[in-house]
Amino acid sequence: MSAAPTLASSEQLVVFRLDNESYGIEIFRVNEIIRLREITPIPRTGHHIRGLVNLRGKTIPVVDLHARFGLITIEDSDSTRIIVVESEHGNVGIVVDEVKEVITLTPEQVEQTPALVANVGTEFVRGVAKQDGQLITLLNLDKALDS
Amino acid sequence: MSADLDMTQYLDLFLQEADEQLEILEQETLKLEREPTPDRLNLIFRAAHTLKGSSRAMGFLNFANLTHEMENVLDQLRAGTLKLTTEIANALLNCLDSLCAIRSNIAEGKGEQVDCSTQIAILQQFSAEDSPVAESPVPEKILLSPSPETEVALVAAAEEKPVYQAHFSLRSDCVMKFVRVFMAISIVQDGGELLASVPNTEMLEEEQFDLDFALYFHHEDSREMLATKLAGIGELESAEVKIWEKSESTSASSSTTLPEHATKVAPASKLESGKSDAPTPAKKVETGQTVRVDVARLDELMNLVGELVIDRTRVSQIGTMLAAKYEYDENIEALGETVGHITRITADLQDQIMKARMLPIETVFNRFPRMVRDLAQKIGKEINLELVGGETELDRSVIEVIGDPLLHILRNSIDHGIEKPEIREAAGKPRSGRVVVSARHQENHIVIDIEDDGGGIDHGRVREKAVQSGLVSKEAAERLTEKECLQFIFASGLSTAAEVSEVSGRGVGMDIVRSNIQRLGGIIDVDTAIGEGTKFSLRLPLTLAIIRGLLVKVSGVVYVIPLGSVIETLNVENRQIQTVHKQEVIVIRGMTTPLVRLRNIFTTRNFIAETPKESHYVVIVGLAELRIGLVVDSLIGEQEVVIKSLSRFCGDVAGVSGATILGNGNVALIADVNGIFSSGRN
Repeated sequence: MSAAPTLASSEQLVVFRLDNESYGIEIFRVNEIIRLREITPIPRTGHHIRGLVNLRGKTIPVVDLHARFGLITIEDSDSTRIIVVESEHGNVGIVVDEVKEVITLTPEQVEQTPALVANVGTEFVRGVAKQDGQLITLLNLDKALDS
Repeated sequence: MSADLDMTQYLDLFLQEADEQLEILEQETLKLEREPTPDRLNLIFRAAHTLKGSSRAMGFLNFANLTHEMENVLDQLRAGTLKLTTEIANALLNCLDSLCAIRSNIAEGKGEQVDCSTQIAILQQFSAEDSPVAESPVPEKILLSPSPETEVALVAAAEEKPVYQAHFSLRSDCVMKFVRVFMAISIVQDGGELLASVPNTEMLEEEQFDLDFALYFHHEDSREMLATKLAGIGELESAEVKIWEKSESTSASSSTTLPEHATKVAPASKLESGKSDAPTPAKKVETGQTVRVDVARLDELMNLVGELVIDRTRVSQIGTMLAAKYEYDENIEALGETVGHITRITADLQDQIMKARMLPIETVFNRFPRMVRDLAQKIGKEINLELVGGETELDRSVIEVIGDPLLHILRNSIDHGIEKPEIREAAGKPRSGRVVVSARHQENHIVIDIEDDGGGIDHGRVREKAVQSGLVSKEAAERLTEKECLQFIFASGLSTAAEVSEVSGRGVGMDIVRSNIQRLGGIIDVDTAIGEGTKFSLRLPLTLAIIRGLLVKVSGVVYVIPLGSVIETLNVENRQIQTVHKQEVIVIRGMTTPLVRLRNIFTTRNFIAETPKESHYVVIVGLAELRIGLVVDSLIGEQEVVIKSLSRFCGDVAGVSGATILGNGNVALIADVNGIFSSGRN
């Protein structure tokens, strides 16, 4: 590998499904995972902001990653979850189609983003990992949340 | 004395005290001008002296020097060797300004670099005629006389049993002041009862005093016994014990007296009873009655209560749902009772915390007399300022922001409203103009009126000026009603004053007033009659943390419109809606009111097209003096909501000022009437 490895050491990731692809975010960025609940839309905000939810008496904004990544919007289902993550502007929720598992990745499993992973804009991607034959896109959360 | 002591922890205390004393100084100096009484002079003197003492202790020598010079002048005023003139009052007030400037510099950590040499020179001129007061202990004695309230309590206590007064002077090299104080207090409390101290015990504990302090107490021992006991405390310059009498505060000999020599009538025979059976009616004055609380802590408490209120509503809704499900379950009944109780308690709790955050509007009013006096003097008018309802309380968040708008309006009333004395006399009015500022509660609001008996506002002139400054076309201006014309006085860049003075007339000001009041969710109204006067009415919410709101539904989403802005709600039929220049309007009681369809402003991505309807719900909202009708899908009801700010993640959203959580746990957005007005206009 020519460039520096994406992961310096082993890392735990929360793997979730968006559309029919798997994505991973660092576990230390995740505060909690909650079921989908009533989201109040905020008028005149970016298309990717779905609205506000009540998280134990606090209101937090929720981001729709489908809209963010320009994917086709999929109807919410029973498996839809909101992952509450920390951003530089406080807690933010991201809507995902399913939360799958928590895995541990070693640096060797991660590759720099190959150009062919084109579903998601490359600016949002840290790299791609292989685990048990499936591809997991490692999200750059800060970029993905940066509006 | 204790240079190695960390002073920063005392800085806050010093600043707080300085604020209080400066306020007293200003208020009393202003009153002194009108009715000079010895009591008032004493009060001023004491305040100046306290400031001198504490600033010197903190090492703010500039501050101390200035107060020292003030003290000199005040002392001569008190002694009668100097008479109070307007010049002296001006000089004293100027000094206060400098002190305030120094104080804020200190607060900002910029040191005390304010040049007050001129002030000092002026003061010295006044006091030069007489030799300046030496650093005699005389003022010390004055300082140590009890405050009026304490005195009242002491008189009451003295009726039961004699009250001893012990005056201590610590040696200037005393290292542990509080230890000495503590020893004195323990001696006094051993077989006696401490009634009061000067300064109060808190200040003693904090070592917020120079070298002298005094204790007032009952004691079973004789004066001589006490004197010997108290003299045993180390590091003392002197300790003087005597029977306290009300009037003797100034008569005490100024020499430092050793206890043995302090002879006075000592009814030592009154050796009655121990401390147990002493039902003294005198309250333990100034101890433990109030606590200073950091504002941030109150804000945090308020937030917590806000969350509690949300949960309470939620629990009560769940209770109702369960009750419908299991109608005859006795546990449900118990739940209902408990919920009811929690509801009452949270309401009380909320109430109490709101009250703790309340301040009397006096704190704002107190700034006015000085400003009015200076302004009237400068422009040669005579003003009678009346302040009514200063005790009306409102949240400190509101207090903080209404001061400037009120000051602006008041300044305008005096500068433009009230005529010159000669003109007034010619018009058959009393020479001095009358300005009344009054505050009162009205429902959940505070109403502040600023009324003058001046010349009134000539709407014709406003109309003319508005056309001149290009705010409105000539034709449009002619169609406007008188009331509509008056609105232009709030426009930026318009002034009806014939000439620009230093005070006002540049046409800024009233627009600032309006934007400040709008930001608070308040309404401003103006009423005027030519030749009779003008009245500005402000309606403001009591607090900014919790509001009563009208819940409405737009495109399936619940929005909260602050009730403070809501004038009325209507059901308007299609045929009542007309269009003027493509703008939908309705006419309410002769007033043309533009309509804004909220669903067009509050566009979300799951936009639902409106089904054609026969009639619409319209919420008429007022922003300052403007009215606008908001078309909503349905009205839900009225509710108290806790304001939460939008996450910074969302940025600024036009038309939305915040969010709240409803009883059912859902989030609702709070409509920002101000923002809707501006987006409705575009």
